[in-house]
Amino acid sequence: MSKKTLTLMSKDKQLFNIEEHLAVQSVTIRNMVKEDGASSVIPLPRVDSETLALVIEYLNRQQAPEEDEDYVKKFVDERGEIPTLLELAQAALDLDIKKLMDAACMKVADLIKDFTLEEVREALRIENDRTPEEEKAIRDEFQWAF
Amino acid sequence: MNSSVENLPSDVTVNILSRLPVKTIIHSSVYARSGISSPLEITRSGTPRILKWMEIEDGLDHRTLHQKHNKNTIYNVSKGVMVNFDGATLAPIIVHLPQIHLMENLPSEVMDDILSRLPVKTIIHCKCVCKKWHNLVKRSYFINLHFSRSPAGFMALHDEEIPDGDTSGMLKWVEIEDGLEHHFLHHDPVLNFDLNGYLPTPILGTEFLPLGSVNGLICIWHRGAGNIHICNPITREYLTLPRQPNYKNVLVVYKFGLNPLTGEYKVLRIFQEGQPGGHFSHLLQAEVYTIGTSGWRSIDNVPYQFGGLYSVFLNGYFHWKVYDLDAPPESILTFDLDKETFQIFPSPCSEPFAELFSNLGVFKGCLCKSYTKDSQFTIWVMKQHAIKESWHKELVITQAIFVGLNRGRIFVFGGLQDGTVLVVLDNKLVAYCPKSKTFDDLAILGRWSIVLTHHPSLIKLLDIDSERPDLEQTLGWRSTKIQQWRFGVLRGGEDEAIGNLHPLN
Repeated sequence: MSKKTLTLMSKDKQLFNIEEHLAVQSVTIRNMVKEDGASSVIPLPRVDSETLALVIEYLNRQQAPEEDEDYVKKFVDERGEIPTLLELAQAALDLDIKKLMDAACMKVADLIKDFTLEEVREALRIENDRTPEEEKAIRDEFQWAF
Repeated sequence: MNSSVENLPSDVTVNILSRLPVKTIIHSSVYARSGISSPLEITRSGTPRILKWMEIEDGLDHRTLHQKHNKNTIYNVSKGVMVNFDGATLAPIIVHLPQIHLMENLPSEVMDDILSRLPVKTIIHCKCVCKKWHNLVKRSYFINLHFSRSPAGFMALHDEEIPDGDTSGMLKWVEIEDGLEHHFLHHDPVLNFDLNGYLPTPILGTEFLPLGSVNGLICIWHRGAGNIHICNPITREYLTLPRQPNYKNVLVVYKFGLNPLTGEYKVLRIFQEGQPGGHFSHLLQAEVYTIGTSGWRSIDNVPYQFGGLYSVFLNGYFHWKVYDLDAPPESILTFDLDKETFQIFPSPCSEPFAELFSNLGVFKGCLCKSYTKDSQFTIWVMKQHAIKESWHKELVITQAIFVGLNRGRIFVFGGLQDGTVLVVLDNKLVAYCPKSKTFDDLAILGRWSIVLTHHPSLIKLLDIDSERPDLEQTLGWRSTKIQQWRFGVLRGGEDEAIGNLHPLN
């Protein structure tokens, strides 16, 4: 008997096949399989095809359990671009893959933790919507941290 | 003729570009600015906005409507260049928006998850980044999530003038990086907390005595002024407990803890009542103050003489050694912060004569009892709280590997994941590694007098204390009514002050 395969569809309508026993690392998919056997295509409306390809690569890993921790860390390290990591974290959230979510968020936190205020804004393309007075008020309140 | 676009006068470039379809103009501007070579690259970093675009080809002889769904155009929009059109004329104009941030459509769960992993200092910087982040890190959900990930560490208090300029009343923060294979200690001076600068100090050089740390809040007894303060070194808030009017009493001890069932913070005060003629009642009386209420309440007397200051707070209980011939031998006295009652439970049988030299401590989140006997240092751990059968002999260290064993009092300060045991001995924090059977003097802080386990948190005292009517006066804050919230989901609070505490009057 061949292994059962599931099909996932990204938001740009690309289809990806993955063996069911690997796909159920995602709690979302596991629940769907339990409920209705998930015979049809599983749509992932917030995940684009490139991110989904990464998630599939992650789910397909063949690591011994004791090496898994290192693998996950390396997996996100190699995709150290903040935008990619954010997409990956969102996909991991939707699919409920805790390890991947934790690793991706940890990596982003590691990347920005030593940034200055301006660098954080730059890296995450955040517009400064504070007036200098408001910013000064916060700096004054938490003087010790600046 | 070797002319390239770069050498064209800008007027010519503008003239050409202005005639191109919008899509092409956007391409040229994005490529020129970022050097990104493929539209797909752009999709990765942006959050697409879907616009439907109807173009009217408005000729003299004909009129055609084109509907275009060009993905590339849409994706490029997210890159910070947006196609807009004026409702009246439908003439396309190009607007350069401020850069749209990457988090715009990001689920708040992802944002919470990332920011809660940052060091406290960076989270405070985040308050400045933008309004959205400021609001995000203010929520009690975020504060709880951050605290659950807050690194373990300790605060050490210096209590005397020392040559390098440190003053009395400086709490210094050391973070423990607690890995499965290794551990590191980091001292970050930014998180130092100078009590003199923040607490009212009517008399200079008076003594501060930390009584415990729970959920990032530190309880401090300012002995000179006779005040008890609870403060958060991160938010720099503090509150002062109401004073007890009767100064004739002899104070035995103050303890600070958390009722994990209700999330109430409580301070326990045990004293001997003053009587006429300068005598004191031998009864140990007790009072409780719950933060957020207006006064102290009397509770039952303490049933046995006990080991005063040296105590452990764990799982909603204070624990002391019992020094009372009326009590069963080797008992541990507990105070239940929920029921507000005293009880005793048995501790493991230490060897004869070792009881006097035994101490309570915390080891990997469990109550532990340690003692020195015949040049052996033994640690017992109570794996399940208040279950006698769960006492377990964890570790024996012999004199041969540790020469200081017979000196002073030794407290178990904590057990790390890599097996290391932290002990306090003669105002020194030392780490014992069972694998290599070696001791390290963790001289990271120099001289200190008291060390508290501590987890930094963003918990706001104002939120806890909002029921108190005299709040405004005490804290000098606007008395905004803030939704009451509790810490039932947080760790039970395992933090306790130990160290070279001075005996009280």
